[in-house]
Amino acid sequence: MMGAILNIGLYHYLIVAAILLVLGLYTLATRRNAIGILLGIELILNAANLNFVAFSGLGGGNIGGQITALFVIALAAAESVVALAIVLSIFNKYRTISIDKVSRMKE
Amino acid sequence: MHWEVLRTVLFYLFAFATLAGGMLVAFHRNLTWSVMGLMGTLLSVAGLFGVINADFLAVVELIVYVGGVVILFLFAVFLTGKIDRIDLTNKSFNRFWAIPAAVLLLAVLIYTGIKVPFHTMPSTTASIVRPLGNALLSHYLLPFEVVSVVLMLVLLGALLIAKREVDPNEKGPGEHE
Repeated sequence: MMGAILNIGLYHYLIVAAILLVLGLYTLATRRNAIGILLGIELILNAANLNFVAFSGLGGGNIGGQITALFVIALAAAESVVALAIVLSIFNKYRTISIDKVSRMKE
Repeated sequence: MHWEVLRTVLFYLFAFATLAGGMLVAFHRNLTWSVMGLMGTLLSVAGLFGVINADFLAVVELIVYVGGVVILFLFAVFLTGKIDRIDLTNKSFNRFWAIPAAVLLLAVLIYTGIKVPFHTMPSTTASIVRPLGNALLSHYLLPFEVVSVVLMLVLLGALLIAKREVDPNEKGPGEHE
């Protein structure tokens, strides 16, 4: 039992990533602020990345998982740039970023 | 032996910091603190990458996320105003359903994750940077180039979306009589 706790293996990473994923989903479900929702998405993406890297490093030495994680990081940065630009644009128009109040794409 | 002990200590340190940051993101009412929690999470995830010999990815995570995305989030939080009015900016909804659903999902994920017998290997200590570069520029060359095009388009698109609408009747700073 002590060995299972002290020898860091794949399962430790899976558990950390699972908790991080659930925290991200909880953030998505409870926030009504658009930026808060984007923070939750970042948490989910990082949980997925943690799984990719853990399987790559501890599950057979295949490098594909790390390459995928690299692409996920690049595309997550692109996603948050566009999403925050949209949020700022919405704020300039409606003076709020609560997703309950913003429901039209056009005047 | 010393390396194994150090690895265990570092893993638990970074795992605890990751989850603490994640909880700050999920539960704190003030959005600025949530962004700070995200920064802690990303720093510690980079540490977790380093513990299993993904050193290049750890540095990329630091540069792209902590150096770029977190700053962007901070700017967005400050620019959207009224951050001290928590009742306006950061109300929390759906707690009644979200907490049981989250706990249930977590139980299912951890149960299946532990039950499945994955084929595991001890991590090596050889540097990953050289094989990573070789793979990126040979087998994964097409996605690599497509990502660079996507980043270019995102740069232009974000500029286009976020630029402020200028009133044509309003005079610019250099156009005074």
